[in-house]
Amino acid sequence: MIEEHPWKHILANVFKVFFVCLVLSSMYIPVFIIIYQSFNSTANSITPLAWGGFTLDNFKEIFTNRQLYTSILDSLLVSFWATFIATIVGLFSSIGINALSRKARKAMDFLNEIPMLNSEIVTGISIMIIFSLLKPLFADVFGFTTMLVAHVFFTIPYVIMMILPKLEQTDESLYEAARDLGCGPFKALMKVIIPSLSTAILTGALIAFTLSIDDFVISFYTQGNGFSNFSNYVYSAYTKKNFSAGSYAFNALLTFVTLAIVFFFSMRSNRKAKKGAIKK
Amino acid sequence: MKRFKALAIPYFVWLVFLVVLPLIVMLILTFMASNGMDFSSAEASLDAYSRLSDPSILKAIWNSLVVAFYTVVICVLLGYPTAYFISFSNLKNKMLFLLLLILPMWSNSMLRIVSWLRLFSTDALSALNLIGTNPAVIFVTVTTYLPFMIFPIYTVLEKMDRSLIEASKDLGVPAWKTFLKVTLPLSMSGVTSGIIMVFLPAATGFAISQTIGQGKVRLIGNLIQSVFEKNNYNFGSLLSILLSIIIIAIVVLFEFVQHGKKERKEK
Amino acid sequence: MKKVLIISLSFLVCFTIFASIVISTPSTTLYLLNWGEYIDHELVAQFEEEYHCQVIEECVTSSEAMYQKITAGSTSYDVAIPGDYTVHQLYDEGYLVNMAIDDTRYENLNNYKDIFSTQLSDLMATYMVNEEGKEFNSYFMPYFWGAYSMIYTTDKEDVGSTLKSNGFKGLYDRSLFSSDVKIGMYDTARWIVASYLMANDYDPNITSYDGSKEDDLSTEIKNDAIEALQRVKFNEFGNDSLKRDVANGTLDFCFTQLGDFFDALYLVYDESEDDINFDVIVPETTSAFFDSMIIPKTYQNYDLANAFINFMLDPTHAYQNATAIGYSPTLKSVVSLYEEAAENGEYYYGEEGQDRSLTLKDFLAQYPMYLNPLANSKTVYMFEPKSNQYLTTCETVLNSLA
Repeated sequence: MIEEHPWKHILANVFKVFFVCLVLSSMYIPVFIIIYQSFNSTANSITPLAWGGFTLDNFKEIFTNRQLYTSILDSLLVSFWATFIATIVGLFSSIGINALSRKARKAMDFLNEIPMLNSEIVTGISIMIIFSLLKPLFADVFGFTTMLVAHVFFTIPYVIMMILPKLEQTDESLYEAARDLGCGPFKALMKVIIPSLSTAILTGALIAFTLSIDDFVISFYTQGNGFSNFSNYVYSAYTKKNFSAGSYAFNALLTFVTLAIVFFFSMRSNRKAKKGAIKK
Repeated sequence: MKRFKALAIPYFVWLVFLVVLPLIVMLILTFMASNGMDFSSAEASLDAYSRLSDPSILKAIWNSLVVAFYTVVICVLLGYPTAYFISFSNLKNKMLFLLLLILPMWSNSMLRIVSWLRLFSTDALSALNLIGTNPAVIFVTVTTYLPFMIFPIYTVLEKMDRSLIEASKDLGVPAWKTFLKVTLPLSMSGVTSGIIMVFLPAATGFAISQTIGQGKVRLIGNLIQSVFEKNNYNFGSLLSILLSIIIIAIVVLFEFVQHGKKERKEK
Repeated sequence: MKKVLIISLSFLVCFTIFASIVISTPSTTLYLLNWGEYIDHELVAQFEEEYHCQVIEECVTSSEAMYQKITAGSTSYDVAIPGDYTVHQLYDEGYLVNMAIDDTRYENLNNYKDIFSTQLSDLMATYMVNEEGKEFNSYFMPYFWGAYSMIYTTDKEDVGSTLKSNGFKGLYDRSLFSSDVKIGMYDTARWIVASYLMANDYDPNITSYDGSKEDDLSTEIKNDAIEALQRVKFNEFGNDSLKRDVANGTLDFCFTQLGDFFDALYLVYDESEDDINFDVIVPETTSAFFDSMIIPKTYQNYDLANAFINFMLDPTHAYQNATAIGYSPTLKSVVSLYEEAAENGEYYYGEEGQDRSLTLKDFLAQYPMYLNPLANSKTVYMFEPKSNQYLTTCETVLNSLA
């Protein structure tokens, strides 16, 4: 192999680091602004981003501003139940799809892709129209019900997308063995197949939750009767003088907590790895 | 495990109810003139179709495709090298780097968009007149959806068989040629799914164009949103169906081209 | 990694159960459909306490959106506060309920309009009539009113004087100003067309230049408006953001409603120590507007809705609401409350002895249009309800900027 000039190597590395930092910073600038605003006493002033002094009051707002905290609670409520239902329905549907004949499976795969390929706005409007038809029967159907249905609808395909490939790789003889040992079909499923999918299920659930909590467009069309979510609160209030700076604080808090959890676990796994190395 | 076939039925019914049925209702709506979803004074009409000739609609669709196209191109140009550098680096803790990429996504996207708006309207940056222009909308769309480009590419690169690259190196092929002939083709599937995941929300969203565009950047999403806001479910449904057809046609065409390339190579 | 997931998930479970308990606390609810920044939240809290209920407010940014929400929206509202021409349209289409306002206070339905400012009542008598030429006063209760106007910066000397002599013409003629002047426009399609017509000395309700009022806008006006919009290239289309952007210098002037100015004025007093560097002008030829509280036919709680409207019509409450929001009060009694307070030496902002304060008396002297929005206007129109066809054409005008 030809020896490379060391300076060339260094230059290449500098460029790489610079490039990655540039990309990262483009994604982090808004995050830093959010954190800056969460400590800014004039976060909602007429002059944009004017620093009015350090304050922690914005964090208090999370618990005192009713519009803000109801929207946060609404978000969490919908996202949690949507994740829960989507994961379970997605899991059993995957098992069902996996058992289909080749032809039926192809049709199902296609149908399952539609919610992902369809634009969010059309998905939102579709569900709004379907429930508008039901409105004469159930006057206050809009709100939690519609939003939950919508969120379950658009997250299930992602759960299936995570679980199905793993299911295909699962050895069917495991299931047969459990059956031979006297397990009923359902018990065999619960005891053998599902545990082997646990990582895929968790990843699917995490993706579903992340998509659901951040959703704006679909929730925009399915909110109602005072039930909304955080993204829609921000969208409808950001130009207003009563836009709560607690929004920034809530977001910053979420970032800090996530950071802390990640930091804690990476420290622990590091320590474990070191201990393991010493033992060996 | 074939006996679990029946488990697919509820989901099938659910999909029919929420995908096919709305489509049928929307299609019926396009042939009517109704007051929103109130059919008491509804009558058969082709008004919705006659409105399609309005040049502003074509303009909005075209503008959406332009914004989405630039967004995708910039995302590939920024996202591929980032994924590549991280994947091929000899960093010990790549996981940490990935987490660094995920962390911004834990901030609410709407709030991030508002933060950009605030930043663009500060004294220092307002002189640039960024707000209300296509480039500003494209820039914010890129920063919002960039992770959707980086992750699929990164995943594919990580799974790739590195011995192929070693082999190519051992044969004395220059690094850039190895990249073009081995690494890039093998990672194309990641790029493809990244492109689709960025293209879809970029072409159809309305939040970014509404906020950053300040009414001057009108995409098809804004048009649909404002038509429904004016209670015109007939024309709105027509635009929605049209949008779905355009998007699915583009995605299918794109995958077809990709697929065709692969098959030709295999031959 | 798995552990992280499990712990964060169980954390979420706990939180969600907690959230469900908090949210599902049962109580009577009043669904209010409103514009943003358009009600004093302390007053709402007071109402909630007095009537042991919860007011859930939803906001929209245009009268057209309000119409959609009431007629086809996802919520059944108890009270809504749409603009004049939307109220008219809703009445024509049978969406409004005849209100049962507290008889002990407001003697009979026909006299409702007596409690509102005379100028406003005159406008109502001209514009708010049904097909038989009769008024339908008991279907809507005016909430705030004002005139279409322009907020402008006082940092650039020529802007204010030019606008004063040219009125709305200034919006569509950039040659009147230096080249770097930045203009903002409301993003409601109908208002844009109306502003264009008024700028050219026409009644904002006409559909063709010969003065007729058909179902649809004539192609001539439509094309001229499109051409004018493309020529003038407004720097921003917005709603609530416009007044802020004039106040912080991003825009030099904008088309807006009078109340937006007073809102921005109070905001700047409240938030910064800067001098007030913007002012408002109501042109000689303009259009008046008023928003009214109505009960849509789809209401869920009729008694509470009536209680709410009565509560807001109470002079002391209406006064408090007006001071908090800044739009011009509609009730005669509130106007006299203002005059009384001014005589008593009360302050518009701040207190005696503070650096930054303004007495109510000075405020009313400086901005007489607050209590009397049409004082300087010679020709006053009001928007009439229009067909969907017309609104669609207006939308086309706005979309031509894509």
